[in-house]
Amino acid sequence: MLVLSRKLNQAIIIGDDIRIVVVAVERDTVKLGIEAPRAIPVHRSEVYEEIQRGNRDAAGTAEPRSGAKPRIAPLGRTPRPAPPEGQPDS
Amino acid sequence: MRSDDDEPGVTIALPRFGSCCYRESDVIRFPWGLPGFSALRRFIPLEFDDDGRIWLQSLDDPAVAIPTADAARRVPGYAPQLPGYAEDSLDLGDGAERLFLLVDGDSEALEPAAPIVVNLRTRTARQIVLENRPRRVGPAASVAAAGG
Repeated sequence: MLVLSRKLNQAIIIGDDIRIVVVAVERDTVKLGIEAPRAIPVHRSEVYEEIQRGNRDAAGTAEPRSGAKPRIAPLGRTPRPAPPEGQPDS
Repeated sequence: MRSDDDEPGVTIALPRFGSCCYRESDVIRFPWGLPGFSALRRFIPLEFDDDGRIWLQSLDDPAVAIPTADAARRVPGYAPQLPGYAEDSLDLGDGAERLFLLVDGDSEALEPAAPIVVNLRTRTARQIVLENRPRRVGPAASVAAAGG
């Protein structure tokens, strides 16, 4: 890991267009100002990691509440008619 | 002009759900992956009778299926303000029709702070982590709990 020392109001540049400035230092908290292109998401790591864990847990443990055969969810489309009994659903 | 009925179906064997047939137009693309599954890019939405969930079944790794719920059905009034990168990357301008899915695991509480946003026209999606986090929404939560 690259480690840099910065003082109040000093900054680091990542790539050509991401700038991180130390805007305040208060006891055990450092406030950072982040200037990044609109297309770059910026998250607190603990928040992002919680979402990662939630996705993995849900994918690994949840089971369908019904034993029926799955079908494609229409998501805003008109549902396809169910295939005749005994026919493949293609 | 080719119609939806002309599109050939593909049958896939799913370790958890058995076989399923889908068409290419059913696929939801996640160009940026999902938190926890960054390498997975293609999913199909599956549902079961009476289940109430929409399962995002990975086509890249058939062992992965993420249970979600349509926020509009489970959390009336859910309309989070999306960050600019979400609107831009999903091309959601000009009132593009969108769908919010919330991960719906076995905890019986939905996580409204990270909606999966689907552009229904392009079938492109991205999970958005909201910085101003609404609190988790249980089965009997009030409508107001999941706003913004």
